[in-house]
This record gives sequence, C-alpha cells and structure tokens, in this order.
Amino acid sequence: MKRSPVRWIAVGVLVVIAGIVAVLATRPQATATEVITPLVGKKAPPIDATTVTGAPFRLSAYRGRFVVLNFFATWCPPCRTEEPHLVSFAYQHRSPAGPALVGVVFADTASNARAFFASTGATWPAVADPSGRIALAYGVRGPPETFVIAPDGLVVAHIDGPVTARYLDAVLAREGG
Amino acid sequence: MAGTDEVAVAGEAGGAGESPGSGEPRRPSDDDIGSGARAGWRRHLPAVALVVLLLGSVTVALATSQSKSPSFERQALAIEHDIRCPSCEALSVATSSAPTAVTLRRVILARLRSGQSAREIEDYVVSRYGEGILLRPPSTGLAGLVWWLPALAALAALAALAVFFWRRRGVDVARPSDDDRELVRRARKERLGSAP
Repeated sequence: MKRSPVRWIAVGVLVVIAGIVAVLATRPQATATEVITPLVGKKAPPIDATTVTGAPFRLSAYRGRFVVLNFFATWCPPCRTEEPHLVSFAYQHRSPAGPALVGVVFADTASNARAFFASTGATWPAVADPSGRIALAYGVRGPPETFVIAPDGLVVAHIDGPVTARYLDAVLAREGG
Repeated sequence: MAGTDEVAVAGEAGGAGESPGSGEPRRPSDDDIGSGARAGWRRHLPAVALVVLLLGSVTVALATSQSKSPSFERQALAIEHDIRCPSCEALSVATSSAPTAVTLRRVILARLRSGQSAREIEDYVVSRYGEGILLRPPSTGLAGLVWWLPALAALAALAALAVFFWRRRGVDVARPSDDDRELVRRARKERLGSAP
C-alpha cells in the first residue's frame, strides 16, 4: 500500500523537533568565561554607595585586598545557580586578610536582594545600584558578571556567567592571591 | 483671463492685426508690443510666485535650523541611536527598554548637560564596553574599510570608465570607402529612377 507523503513529512518534522528538544535539554549549563573587556588592566571605577541594609560602602576601603565584585539579580537563574558557590567561596576565605566578596544588585530592588541573601545565607555586603551607574561604570551587560580587583585597585579579571568557588580560586591563584 | 482680455482689446483696435480696409497684415504698433509683453509676464506669474515661495521656504528653513542648536534631548537621542543596548543584541539604546539601556540613556543626557560632546560620551561608553557597543562602525582601523571601500570602488569604476572611453577615442572607426559610396550612389539612383 502506498503511504501518503504528508505522513512522512509529519514524521520528519516530529523527528527534527525531538532532536532540537534533546539538544536543548542535554546541553551543559552556561559556565563562567573570562572575557577581555576595556576595563581589564585598568583601575577599578570607584564605588561610593550604600548597601541594601543601608550601610555605607566604599570600594577604596578594601585597598590592599583582593576584591571579588559580583553583579547579580534575584530574577536571574544563573545568579541563583552560582549563589551556593559564592557562599562556599566566602566561607573558605573568611579571614579578614583574604579576598573580600562584594555583591552589586543589578536592576533589582534592595528588598529582593535582602530576602535572597537571607535565604541563601550570604553574609557579604550587597551594594544597591538603583540608578545602574555602577553597572555602567563596569561595563556590565547582564548578570551574573564578576570582576576580580587586585590589591592595587586594578581590575585583573572580568568573568561572564555563573562562577564557582574553584573557578575564582584559580583566577586568584593566577593573580598571586 | 487677463492675457486673453489684452489680446481682445488689441484685436478691436486693429482688426486682429490687419490694416483697416487693406486686408494685409499690419505692422504691430508699440502699444501692441507692450501689451503682449505684459501678457507674457502675467502668464508666467504663477511660476514666478512658486519659485519665490520655494526659495522663501528654503531660506526660512535654513535660517531656523542654523539659529537654534538642537536641544539636549535631541542630541541625546542621536547618540542613543548610535549605541547598542549592552544587554540586547540588535537594539539601540534609544529603542530598548532593558535596564542597561535605560541607565545609558540617563547617563548620556546627564553627560550632555554637564558639557560633554557626543564624541566624549561615545568614548566613555567604548571605554567600558569596547568598540562593539557602537552600532556605527568606526572610520579608522580595519572596521573603517566599511566606509572607505565603497568610495574606493566607485573611484576605481570611474577610472576604468575613463580609461575605456579614452582608448575607444583612439580607435579608427571604419569609414566608407569610395567603392561603398559608389554602391550607395548607384542604389539610390536605381531606386529614384524606378519611382513613378
């Protein structure tokens, strides 16, 4: 019996759709990638703001220490993915002389950030950036993005995507941290 | 119409250009010539008015565009159209509603108000995001070829055309020989001779 070509076309389309779904479902999650942007190798733009809890924050107060500056938002799934890794990183480097972890809220409210930090156990300062000017000064396109600032105030790494504690440790080790 | 009236008046006085009683055309008088010139001038009046109106409009438009410098908002909009939204792929800062685009719009306006030029603002944005943030390719470096190549190609095409025509000028075009002329002459003679 001769089969209708429409049936074959339908089967073909179904196979293609199934293939696309399989590729999308099994592809690895976005990972951190170090990117070369104009800020790398230059002085970190100053930050003089307040944290989401209302405390004053000055980046210059951290001069002499490595600073891991993490731009995040509570609405951003990769930011939620990386949060446990950041908590782990902060715990491993909890000594006062170690690298300091600082969050910057990207296009999100202070109350959302406070609730997010409370739920994840994050203890580092989260700087509010309601106008987005800090993000612009650092050339942030979309969270999560992380900058590693050397003790002399130079930006030594710009990482795009969700970081892990191991990834950050590798960058710090490379920079002599 | 005014022109028609003038002609009618001239006709009554002189019998439509004929000498009375003679039937021969008469020489037009100075009055006739004067009224004809007036009629011609009036005929062109709408065209003259149109030209004056157009020239006036252009003058007014140029005067107003040069006397007023564009507002900060207009300048900002022009810059925003040249900058890519940092968190989107194919939208300009002017057309995107992404948070980074909104921030950039505010920053561009604030910097314009503080006296910075469009170039300085673009340089600032490039210093943060790199050259790729500009939607308009730069006129220098490798990307500058985008601007220069079409102009160079047009120049090359013009030069090639000039060379082509210059060479053609020197080519001796085949001229009819005496035999050819004789052949044509005979053919014409035969044809004319056979005509009724």
